[in-house]
Amino acid sequence: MGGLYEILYDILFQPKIAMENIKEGKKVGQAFLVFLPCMILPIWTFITAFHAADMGKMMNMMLVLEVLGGMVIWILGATIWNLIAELFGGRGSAASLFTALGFIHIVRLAIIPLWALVALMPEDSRTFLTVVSMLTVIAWAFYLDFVAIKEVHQLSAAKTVLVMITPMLFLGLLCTIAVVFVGSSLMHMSI
Amino acid sequence: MYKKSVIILICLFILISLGGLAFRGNKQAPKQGDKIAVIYVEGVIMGGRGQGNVFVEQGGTDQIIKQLHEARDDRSVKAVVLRVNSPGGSAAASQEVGEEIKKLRAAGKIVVTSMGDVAASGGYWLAACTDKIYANSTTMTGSIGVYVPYANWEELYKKIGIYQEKIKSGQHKDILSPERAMTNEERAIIQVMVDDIYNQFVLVVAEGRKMDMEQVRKLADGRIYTGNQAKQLGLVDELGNMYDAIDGAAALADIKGKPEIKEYGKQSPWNMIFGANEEASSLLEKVLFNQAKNALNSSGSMGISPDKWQVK
Repeated sequence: MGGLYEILYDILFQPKIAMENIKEGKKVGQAFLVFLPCMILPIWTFITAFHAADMGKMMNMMLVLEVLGGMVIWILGATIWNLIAELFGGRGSAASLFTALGFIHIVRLAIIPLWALVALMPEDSRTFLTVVSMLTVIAWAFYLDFVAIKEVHQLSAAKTVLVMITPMLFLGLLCTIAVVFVGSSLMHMSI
Repeated sequence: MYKKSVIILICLFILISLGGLAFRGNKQAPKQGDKIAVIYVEGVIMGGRGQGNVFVEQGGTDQIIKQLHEARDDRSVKAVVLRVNSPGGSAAASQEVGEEIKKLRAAGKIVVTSMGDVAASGGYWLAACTDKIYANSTTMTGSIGVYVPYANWEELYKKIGIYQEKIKSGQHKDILSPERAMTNEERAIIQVMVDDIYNQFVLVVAEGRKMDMEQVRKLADGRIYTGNQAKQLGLVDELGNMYDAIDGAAALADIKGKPEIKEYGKQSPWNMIFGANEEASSLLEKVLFNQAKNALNSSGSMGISPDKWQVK
């Protein structure tokens, strides 16, 4: 467990070193150990503290969906980014990237103290601060994703950014093509 | 060791935050007090599951009865507000929901009706089964009566060269067939049935409104009334909107303070996005469509279909 504490500390404060350590050791099990509470606790806190809706029986289902959804995104994210990184000349392994992305889920827990702080603030500013705190955590997670891809695959910063945005560019392209096709077919129909 | 201590401290901080938020959540959680259920009866009242697809489910008494059952079984529900926005429907469908409302009242729940744009015919049948009726002064209500639509297409069929032959098991199996004129005997049979249903309707209104049968019969000539007229005639108790009905239900159920509202049959996200709300005009369209469908329904090999019986 000593190794786990070190990795978690490094991810939070020295991500570069953390990624190097993750790359060397096979720690998929530990990554999963970090992933599970990091998915469950924030959503559980949100439901308990903010009564997101009249949940009742929905709570268990939401927790299961959150964990399964997070798992799918984790696997898909690692697979797609690894594929693109290899296309851009990356030299890392998919397992290392998968493990690194798993450990990165730890930053999700930062939302809990942030929400606690927001709860102490005046009511008028809470919505704004909640959004800011969520954006902060998302930005931090993205930065760690960036470091993970860069260090695991030994890529330059520019290439790493390209790897990260390629799936989004691809999706954007697909949407544009779909809109153009739908638009042209509708124009044809109106004539 | 240093790193381990920092991580443990962070974990402790997170746990304290978690506890604080959970405590705050419990403190602010609304108390599970007495509830008032709101059940919507919208559109033409039809028996069965109604019409629906993956995204939308509309009409059909099965859904309304299910909601009435849920309200009955929920101990926190002290009263039910039936929000009626319906021009009526089939007699059997109205009756089965009406009977379920009576059972709900027998189970100790207060049931109050709030009429929307239209609460006529079958819609009024349901309202008559409740403890108290609220209507807007311009609500269209009443229309207490029954009719069986029948169209004779004989001349048209002759013109276009259609001759339908039937092998019947009995003399009256093809009663109400549109390809021939109705006989006097058949007319008498249908009239007896219409009178029977009408008498049942009048009885429901008389019992529900605590009026005598003759008094109801005078009002029940099939005409519609405004909410204002209906109040003067004793068909409606109060003029007011749905929130007045909720307040009235809370008072009848002796609920102290502001009651919690529990809405049944909420709109689906699909409905909310694409707005499949049923407007009064579409209700009218549905009535007209139903009448036309009944008139054209010539292939009723199983005899009289229930939706031919309009409570009107």
